Amino acid sequence: MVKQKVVVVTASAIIQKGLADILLHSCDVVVSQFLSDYAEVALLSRLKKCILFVDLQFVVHQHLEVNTLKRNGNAVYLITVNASAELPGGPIDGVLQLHDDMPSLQKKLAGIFPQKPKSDFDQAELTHRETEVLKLVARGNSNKEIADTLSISLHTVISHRKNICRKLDIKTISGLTLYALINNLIN
Amino acid sequence: MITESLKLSDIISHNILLVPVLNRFGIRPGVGEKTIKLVCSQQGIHLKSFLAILNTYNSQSFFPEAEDVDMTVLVQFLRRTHTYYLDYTLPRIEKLISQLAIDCPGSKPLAVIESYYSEYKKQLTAHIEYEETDLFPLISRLLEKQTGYTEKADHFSDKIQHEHVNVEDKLSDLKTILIKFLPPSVNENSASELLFELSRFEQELLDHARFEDKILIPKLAKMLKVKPERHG
Repeated sequence: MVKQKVVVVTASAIIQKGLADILLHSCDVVVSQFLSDYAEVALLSRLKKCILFVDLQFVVHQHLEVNTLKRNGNAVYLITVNASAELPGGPIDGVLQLHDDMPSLQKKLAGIFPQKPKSDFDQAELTHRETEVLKLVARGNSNKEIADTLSISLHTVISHRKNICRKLDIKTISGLTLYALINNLIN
Repeated sequence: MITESLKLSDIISHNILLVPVLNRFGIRPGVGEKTIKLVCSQQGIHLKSFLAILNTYNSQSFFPEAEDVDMTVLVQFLRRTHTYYLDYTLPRIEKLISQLAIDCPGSKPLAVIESYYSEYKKQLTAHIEYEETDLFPLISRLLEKQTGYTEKADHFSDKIQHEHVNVEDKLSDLKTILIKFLPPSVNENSASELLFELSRFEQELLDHARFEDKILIPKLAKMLKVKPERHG
């Protein structure tokens, strides 16, 4: 799947930085381009099938029209103070209000960027096999010994260990042993 | 960024965690209206090294320049830091864990945590002693030009960096496990005090290791490598 190109059109540093940060953290979307002055407006005509976040202030100042912006299949979202803002030259795809709080902004953005189903893999409990490996690690066995005991390859043992450390957020063997003791996996 | 013209009192107000760092230079709160430059000149502190050390502790994004740091000043600072860990931080954390254990008699998790920490303390103490008895004296001899090149340098670098990662990770594991598995019956104030102390120490160790790995060891390696060429 081709990743959607996102372009922010504004001269405002606050909007540029703020929107880029929110997009990254809320939607895992990286802004591909910022257009912030007259010279760069010429680049607009080259954009195809992009999502444009356009500052109303900038549009008015540069005398831009919606049909120019939407040419080549771009989607246009207006950044403005007023929710019912409109632009000359046709309908826009949506509005982000400058005074939106985070939840309402995230709701709007979720409509624009359909969220990937959240993986709960990282939070998942250890699998039965991982618990077996953890017990053996905590008892001081080497990777080779664990591989022999469980009749699995060394590579698989290492992969289990990586997953255990990631899931539990524990980095050392002593830490894994402490975890196993506290949770009564070993005595 | 902390610069020489700033008032020391402003620096402390801004980041109270710098107080123990300043203590290692013999500076205590009650600093009056003096600027950093004045304090350093009055107390005979090497200004550039002082600023480099303070900035490193003040901001994670600050990276000290090796040439700004005087080796003698740095070793003295690290020695005092070690004393602070051995005499204050390590016993204090131990006491906080014991207090939790006393509050919850017979708790298995706390008994296990106590013994984990006691092992950790032994390991960190051994690491510090190694630096104090092997590494720092070698540096002093080099500075006084009593010795030249030695094979030891290569061992130091790997051993020390490896041990740093290990003591940082073990402490971080302890914190993670405490956060997840402290028994609900523990005194909440003691528990939060312990977590604060662990977090603070975790950060201190990171800053401390940054100095040793990125400044001390490279400077040492340079001293050792340059010597034979000059004399040879």
